Amino acid sequence: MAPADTPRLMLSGCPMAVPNWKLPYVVESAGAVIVGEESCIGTRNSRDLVDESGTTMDEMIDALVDRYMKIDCACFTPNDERLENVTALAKAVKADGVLHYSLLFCQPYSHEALKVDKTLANAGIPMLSIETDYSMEDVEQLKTRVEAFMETLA
Amino acid sequence: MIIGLDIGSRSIELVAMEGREVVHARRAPTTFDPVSQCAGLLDGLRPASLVGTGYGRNLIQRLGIECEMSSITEIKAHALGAIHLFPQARAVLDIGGQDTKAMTLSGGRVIKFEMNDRCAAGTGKFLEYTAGVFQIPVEDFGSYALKGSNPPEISSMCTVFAETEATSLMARGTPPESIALGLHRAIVKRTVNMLGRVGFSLPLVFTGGVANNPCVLDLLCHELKAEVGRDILIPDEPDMAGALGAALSLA
Repeated sequence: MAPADTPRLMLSGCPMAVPNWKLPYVVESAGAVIVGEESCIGTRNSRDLVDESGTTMDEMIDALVDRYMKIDCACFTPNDERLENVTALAKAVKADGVLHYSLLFCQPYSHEALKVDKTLANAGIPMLSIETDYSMEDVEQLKTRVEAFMETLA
Repeated sequence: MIIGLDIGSRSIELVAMEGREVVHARRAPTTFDPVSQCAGLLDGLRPASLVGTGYGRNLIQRLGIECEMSSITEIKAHALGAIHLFPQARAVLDIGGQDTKAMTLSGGRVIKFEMNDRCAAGTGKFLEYTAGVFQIPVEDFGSYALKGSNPPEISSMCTVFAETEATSLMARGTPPESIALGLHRAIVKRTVNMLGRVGFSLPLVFTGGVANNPCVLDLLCHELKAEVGRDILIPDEPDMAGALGAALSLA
């Protein structure tokens, strides 16, 4: 359990494949808590589940297709609903700020970081954009960024 | 007495304050034994509180000093130092040994910041390394570059590739001062991009050791169409701003 005044951060962006816990580790050891995750291992995975009410093969296939078409990953275009979904999730989980994570060379997310930043800024939600990879050598630099971001929220 | 200790990648600065008055300002190179360097700087001082900042901010715990200890990031420290020295500041640019940081301020707080990624290209380290290639002390590199004209476009920001590029330019007969100017221009371009990403406005306080480089300053003024003293403000000791801000976080 974290104290009531602990900064609440939400993750957005690339999925963090197990066991890539670098960023969550940095965030939570800096004294914040992660309260939500928008990614293919986060709410994108569990939201918009397939409608199971179809009784014929066609209906069921249509239901599957409908679900696929709602995926708002940065590698699809247009995906304006991603901006709405990130903002809505940040509000729903009462995030004090959003950490936008993109893996090095994952250009779709690196580009969308700018759009997400603008959208969140309009909603009054601060965002920090982070680009990193699976190696551990930038942990100290990440710590400085995350801690400085938390200082701006305090 | 409150002491702010900025343990950076290249140098360590100490600022001691009594109330809101600076009573000591000291500096030392970081070396590979920053803890001993800090102990040397603290010699004869008895702080009630010690605030660490910079990469080595948590090393203060290893100093074995009995006092209240805390740490803040160099982002906050430079902002606090800059605002204290220039209350009208709207943005801060800090170019240190290993990092470039751009911040926008509002109401005495940092609103948005950017830092270079893990690579130290375009920082003090880049200048130090390239000055070495020209066999010039880093302190004199800026005035040396100012003697250049028609600077060639240096497209590599990687320190190692920039050296290769400089070497090819030398082989082509480009005057070394002009190559040096081109290298400075490459840094400033990168810095201005970073400032653009945080949506800065003027006046801007320029801190960190690189603020002492007259060529970087000259080019920055040119790029931002700004004037030193009005739009770009430089502390008397720009490298001390972080340690000052650390001390001020408690003062």
